[in-house]
Amino acid sequence: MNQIAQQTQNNRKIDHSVLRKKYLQRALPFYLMILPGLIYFLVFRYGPMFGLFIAFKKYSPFRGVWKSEWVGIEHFVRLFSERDFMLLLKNTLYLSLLDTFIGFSFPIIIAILLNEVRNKYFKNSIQTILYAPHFLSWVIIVGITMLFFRTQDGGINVMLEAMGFSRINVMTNPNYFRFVWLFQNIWQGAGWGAIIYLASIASIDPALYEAAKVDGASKLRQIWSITLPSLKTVILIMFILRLGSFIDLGFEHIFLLQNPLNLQVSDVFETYVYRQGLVQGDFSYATAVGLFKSVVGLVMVVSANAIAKRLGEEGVY
Amino acid sequence: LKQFMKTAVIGLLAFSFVTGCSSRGDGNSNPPDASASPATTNPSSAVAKNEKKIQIRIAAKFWGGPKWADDHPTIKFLNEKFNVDIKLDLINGPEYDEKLKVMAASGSLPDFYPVDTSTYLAWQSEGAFLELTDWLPKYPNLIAAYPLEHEAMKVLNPKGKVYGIPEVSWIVRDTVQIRKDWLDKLGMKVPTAEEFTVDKFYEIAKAFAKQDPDGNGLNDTIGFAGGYAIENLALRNAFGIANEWMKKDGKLIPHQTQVEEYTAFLTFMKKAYDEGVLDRDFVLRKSTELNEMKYSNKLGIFSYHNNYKLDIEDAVKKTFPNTNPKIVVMAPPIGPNGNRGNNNSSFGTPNRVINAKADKEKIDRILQILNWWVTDEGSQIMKNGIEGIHYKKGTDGKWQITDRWEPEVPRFLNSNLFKRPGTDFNLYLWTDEAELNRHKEYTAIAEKYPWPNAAMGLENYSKTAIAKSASLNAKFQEAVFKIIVGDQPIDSIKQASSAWLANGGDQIIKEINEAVKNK
Repeated sequence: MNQIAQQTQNNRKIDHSVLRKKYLQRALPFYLMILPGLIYFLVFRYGPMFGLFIAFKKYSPFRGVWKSEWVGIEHFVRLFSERDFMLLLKNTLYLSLLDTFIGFSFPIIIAILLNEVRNKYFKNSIQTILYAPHFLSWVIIVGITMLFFRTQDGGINVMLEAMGFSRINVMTNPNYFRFVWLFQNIWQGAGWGAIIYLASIASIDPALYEAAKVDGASKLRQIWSITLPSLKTVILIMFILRLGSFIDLGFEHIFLLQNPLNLQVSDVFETYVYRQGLVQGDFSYATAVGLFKSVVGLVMVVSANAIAKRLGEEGVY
Repeated sequence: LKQFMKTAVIGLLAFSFVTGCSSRGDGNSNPPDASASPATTNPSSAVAKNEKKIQIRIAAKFWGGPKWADDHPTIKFLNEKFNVDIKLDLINGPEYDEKLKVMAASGSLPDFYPVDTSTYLAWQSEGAFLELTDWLPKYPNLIAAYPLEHEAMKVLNPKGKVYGIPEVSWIVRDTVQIRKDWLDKLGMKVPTAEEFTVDKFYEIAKAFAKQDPDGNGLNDTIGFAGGYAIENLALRNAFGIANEWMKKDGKLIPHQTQVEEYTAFLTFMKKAYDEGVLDRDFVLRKSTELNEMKYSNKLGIFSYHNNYKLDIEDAVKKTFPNTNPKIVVMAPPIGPNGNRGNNNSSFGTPNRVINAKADKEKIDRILQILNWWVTDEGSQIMKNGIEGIHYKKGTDGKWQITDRWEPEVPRFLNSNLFKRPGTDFNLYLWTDEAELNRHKEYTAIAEKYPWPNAAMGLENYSKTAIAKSASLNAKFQEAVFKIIVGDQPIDSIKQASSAWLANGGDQIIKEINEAVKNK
């Protein structure tokens, strides 16, 4: 009895190690393939996170990270009691909401519209034209906008005046800032963003459409009842990912559009961090602001993901 | 980050012009031959053996144009003369300050580099710079050029310490300049200094904006322009607005408190904006764009340094062969209360500092170079370049430049890193008499109406100013701009002023006035 037990135990052991060996043999190449990505994340994503602790110090480059004194949460207290904190938060949220809800829907609309275009060449050229702006940097986009809309010698304004209208202060009037920003965002990103939706539309079973046609469904009906439901998962995943960078607006774009006259609507956390960190050299405080932003982003993603799962969808993880 | 810095730069330009060029008193005389200055040259070559080759990293601001390479003839010359290996780090001017901070954070600051006031003061106490009081006296020419008791050596330093070598140059750099050919074309006369009131200024600018002075049939010229604040400074001064701080009733007050003066100034500016005399995009213009407007025949009245007169005239002539551009120098305009002035250059800045981490030998080598640089011989080479390469003696016995002068800008380091006190740094061996005189006349006009900042250098002793002035001033400026473009009534300057005071300005005023007493 005892012997038999021993035997089986041994067998199992052998089996186990053989299995594991085999498994490793099979899987090793895959692990090796993961390795570069893993190293990348460790070195460039996780490594720098240790630098975050200067948010709790009074960092001086000349004393170094270790010798700078600890100040606890002083920087966070300062941030939340800052006179401009509410303004920054308001501006950031306002722009984020605009981009998340209005900006986000454009790629989907474009993808659906493009999908309905029957002429292949027309479709391809339109698609190229729409995603080309993705490759332009903000400096160029803002520069071009300036050329058109500058009040003194911008093309549009010169034309308006020649036609007897009055000039419009698109670049300096704070009322226009958000729309200019959103419009440029859409112009630059929507065509590119549509690619992923186009790909998933292409994978929808054509039989569904045929069946719908037989049942007499109109084009709109087909879009509403077939295309959109099929896109639901992708849209949701994209949306959750988008929420991760909810509070990240992209420094460059806003900074380029910013000027003293629209500061009250254009000053956001990014530009604030820039001013404090680089212009004034207050690295610790800037880090604290950055950390705050990241925490907000993390909370957004985790909660959006949880909600998605509760609704029975897949989520990102 | 790099990308981000690059773009950041584009935004920042506004201020920066910096340090041009020129000088005071004695410096004007023609630089003597390289060989002929034994009295002033120091024994640097004789004294030290400099046996070990030492690498020296030097940073300087770069403002465009051809860039020095590490094998530039002048660098080669210095390398050989002092047995060093100079590595130049040329950083775009507008992003220089930020780049320095990044370098500091990554522990890679150069050995010798210029810093602006705020960085200079902030980093002194951190021990970033070498303290020089014990070092300087060992270098006879250097200490003669920068005596420890010189005011510029004291202004930004704590008592008894010297952390950098200040620039001692212009008193006033810019004044108003007008395109005389435009005036002629419109049948207007160049006003005399007495006639040149703000109303006259306005009249001229308006004519320039509306009457097609360039004669191309298009309404594309600009009356007067200005980026954030630079270009219309002379106008602000005419209305009596302080260059940051002024003395009133024995107390220092900042310009933000001058509601009355601002009201008059803003009334003027608003009218100019409404009538299309002031550039409608003044808020957006970067300094580079302002320059472009001058060079492209769009702007005929501006505040600038006369050094660029010939450049501008040439450039305009080249692009528009039918024009005959001629720029004349004007005194600053007179305001309603008789005020007039050109802003004084900031005093004792930038400072050139030596990294505290440099070892003794390296420090000595850097100071040897500077000790030589301030001599006639050194200055001569650092601004004219190397004889036979950048300039040579012509057949007529006169100095003339060679083809390599333009592309190799031998004056670069002398203009942008270090120069001896004085304003003769843009006068060369081949500069002729007429040019010398023009230079003198210009300096005389510009400096006749100084408009100094009464608290120069003191702002940095106010803790509140360091912490809050940037955002406070931005708010105030926003209010000023809003009034000019008509978003807010002129009255609202009162609120802006009291907001400035209430949110920290009162404290700043208190601290600055205390700092004066302690100085």
